[in-house]
Amino acid sequence: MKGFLPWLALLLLLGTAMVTALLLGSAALPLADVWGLVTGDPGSSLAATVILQIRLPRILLTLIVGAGIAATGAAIQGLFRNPLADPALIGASSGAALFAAGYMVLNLHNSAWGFLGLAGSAFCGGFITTLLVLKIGQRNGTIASILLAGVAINAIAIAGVSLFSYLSSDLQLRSVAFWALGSFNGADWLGVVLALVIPLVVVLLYRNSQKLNAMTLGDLEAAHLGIDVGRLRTRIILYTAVITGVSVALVGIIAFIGLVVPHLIRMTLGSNHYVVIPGSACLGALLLLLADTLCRLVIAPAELPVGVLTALLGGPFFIYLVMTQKGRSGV
Amino acid sequence: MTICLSGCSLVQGGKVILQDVSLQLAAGEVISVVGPNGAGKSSLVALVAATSQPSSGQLSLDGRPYGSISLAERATRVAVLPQQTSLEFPFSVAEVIQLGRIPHGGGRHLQSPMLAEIMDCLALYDLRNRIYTSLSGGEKQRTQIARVLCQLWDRIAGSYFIFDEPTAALDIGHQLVILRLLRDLADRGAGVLVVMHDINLAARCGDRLLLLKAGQVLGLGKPAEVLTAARVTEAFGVMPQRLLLDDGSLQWVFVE
Repeated sequence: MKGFLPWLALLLLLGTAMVTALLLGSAALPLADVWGLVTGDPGSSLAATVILQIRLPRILLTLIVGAGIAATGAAIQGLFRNPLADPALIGASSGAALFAAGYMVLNLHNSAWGFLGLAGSAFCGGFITTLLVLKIGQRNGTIASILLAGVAINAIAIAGVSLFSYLSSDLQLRSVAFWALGSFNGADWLGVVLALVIPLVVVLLYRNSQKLNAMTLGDLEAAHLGIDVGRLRTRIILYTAVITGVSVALVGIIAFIGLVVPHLIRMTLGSNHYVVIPGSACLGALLLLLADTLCRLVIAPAELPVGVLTALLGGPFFIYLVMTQKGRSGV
Repeated sequence: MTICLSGCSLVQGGKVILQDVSLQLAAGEVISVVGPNGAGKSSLVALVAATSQPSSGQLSLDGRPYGSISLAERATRVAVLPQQTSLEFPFSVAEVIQLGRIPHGGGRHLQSPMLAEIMDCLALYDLRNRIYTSLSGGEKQRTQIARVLCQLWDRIAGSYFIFDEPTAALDIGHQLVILRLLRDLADRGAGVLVVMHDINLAARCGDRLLLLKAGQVLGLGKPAEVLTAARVTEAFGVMPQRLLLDDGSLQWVFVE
């Protein structure tokens, strides 16, 4: 399965999924109205509002976030030389959740920190925890120590989120919980614009593909191939913090896309990061869009949080992968 | 054209790993390194590979101090096979070998003639599309050796190859293939430093042999001269018997 055929298939699927997602939803739209929108005939203002103000930004945001977290998952797995690694390991998502919960429960929007907003605090949280993990973990320079620092910081951050939940009012608790589950419900054009930083960082990740290929051999081997391992590690982790921070800030925590998608790509297209990173970005965008569309439809007019669905479907699927692909997937 | 270590010592956590090691690895020669476990063989490799810095002493590459040579530049002159490489990703054998081209900006596309030559050398051609993680230990090791060769295959003369126990996981047939390969690299103008577990293999492949014990040089010179019964006993704590083979080479046999 090499060559351009899988890419063509991926792009076709992406296009089909986008059109389907535009047309399907709790508000039924006559096809004629949608077509009128495309041809510039202002037939129905309802169709225009639903498509342009609700569904389109939501779909774009889903694609961007899906591409970002899957690509960053691929890079982190390469960097940590572990096909089971996940961006959550370096503390970015739990840190973001902690700061967001703190922002909501402590009513910081009325304080000096109000200018950050919920999304801004989440982003700062993700970034600060990642730096902390990097700082602690790099004291003796091994990958294991970074992962252990990540585990510890994660545990502390999650304890913090629980504490804030305990302290919160019922209303706050609901928004903390809902936000921690991940949802594209509030997607708007501002979110899309903010999220545009993600594809830029994905391009930066892609430009490090060769170095990440070397890293899969090991720290020493990468150094023998002329790569400054410490600098590369810092760079990739910071990129990851940006992508994870921005996505968690905008849509909450989305589980398993970053873990499962690169795996699927490696199984079908090989391990070269020049393929794995763009491949994961495409497939991540596709799968998250499908998941989100499903979430909009299954209990319409209500919605499932998409993070719940990705975890529910991704978890068992991942177990299936691990059980059946031994050797081939390198797990 | 030499890699030159002068008076190199390495201290880690208060423990002396290497003490006052001086060595010149010239283009066109093979130096084999032997010594008991923990003698500092791999630490010597790390110094020469510049993945650790000496606590005292100097290293130079063709007269230039190591400190003045960037990682990227060194990778175009010195290729290193570490003792163990654990690669957990499903690359194909051909892809792993090509990772060796990374210092030259390659590693992305097949460089077919070079790749085919190298795979022929190590009998990897039939394995080229196999997934690395599904290989046996010996096949993995041959793949890694091929990757290291690939790094400097187009510029062997004047390059340096450092191998840490390249034959450890190999059967006898492949061990001899590697010995021939090391000789061939030296004949084509490379300097080769190879750590060996088996002193007979080490004596057979080295123009010179370095015997290490507890971080100190017990002997450096022609294998037959360095590996006297007294020195081997001092290094390994076991008394050898030396056999003269029909081809005139010496063989060390250990009998309790």
